Amino acid sequence: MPYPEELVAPMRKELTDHGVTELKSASEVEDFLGTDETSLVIINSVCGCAAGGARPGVVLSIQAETRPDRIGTVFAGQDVEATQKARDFCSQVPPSSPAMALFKGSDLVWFLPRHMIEGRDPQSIAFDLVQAFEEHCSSKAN
Amino acid sequence: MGTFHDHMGELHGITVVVRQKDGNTWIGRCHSEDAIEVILHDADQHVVSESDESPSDWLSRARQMGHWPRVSTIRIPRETVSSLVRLAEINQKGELPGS
Repeated sequence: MPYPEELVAPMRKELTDHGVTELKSASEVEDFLGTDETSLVIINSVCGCAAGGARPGVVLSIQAETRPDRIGTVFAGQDVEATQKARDFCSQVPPSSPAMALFKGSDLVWFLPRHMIEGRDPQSIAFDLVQAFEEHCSSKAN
Repeated sequence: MGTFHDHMGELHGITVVVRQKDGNTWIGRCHSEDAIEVILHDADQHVVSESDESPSDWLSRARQMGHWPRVSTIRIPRETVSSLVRLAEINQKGELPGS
């Protein structure tokens, strides 16, 4: 059952305030990953490890010099259809949230599951993300 | 902002590996653990006698990608448990800490 939107809105805003594109339908996810570019998709959630680690880790990581062409997010438990579509693109990976998936086009090239976010500080999560960006992405921040 | 449950113990909400004395292994999100039992949600089990995959290979794969939530809730009697660790503590070879 989804949480009340007024509770979730600030959790969405933590990412969208930093330029992350919110994907709220399956078609938006399909369009987002339907390019040849590199894309990071954050599977957001209401849990404490999203608040304490995942979202601030993402915000830190996207200040890096090298980063994906596009950064989007779906909200697990809230935007069910969009989350399922994002998971369809990660079909070899068990579902978890929060989690982060890096794509080249629609191909999954790197994944950070929930258990690698739990209990970790934002800096450590950002470090993992930046390493993945440097390995798989070529876009430089302006 | 997020939902926190600090009163539930340090492993509450954390993905853990429970190795049992018979060699079988559970992975799941820890609800609680005490002297009586370990309660996991969204769990999966490796049964040595039923799997073609070794416990370490199974754990190594789970460490990298996560685990499939095949069982909604499982209560594991504490007397059957030989170790309880975070999945994130498993090394890349799928070995338990200290093994």
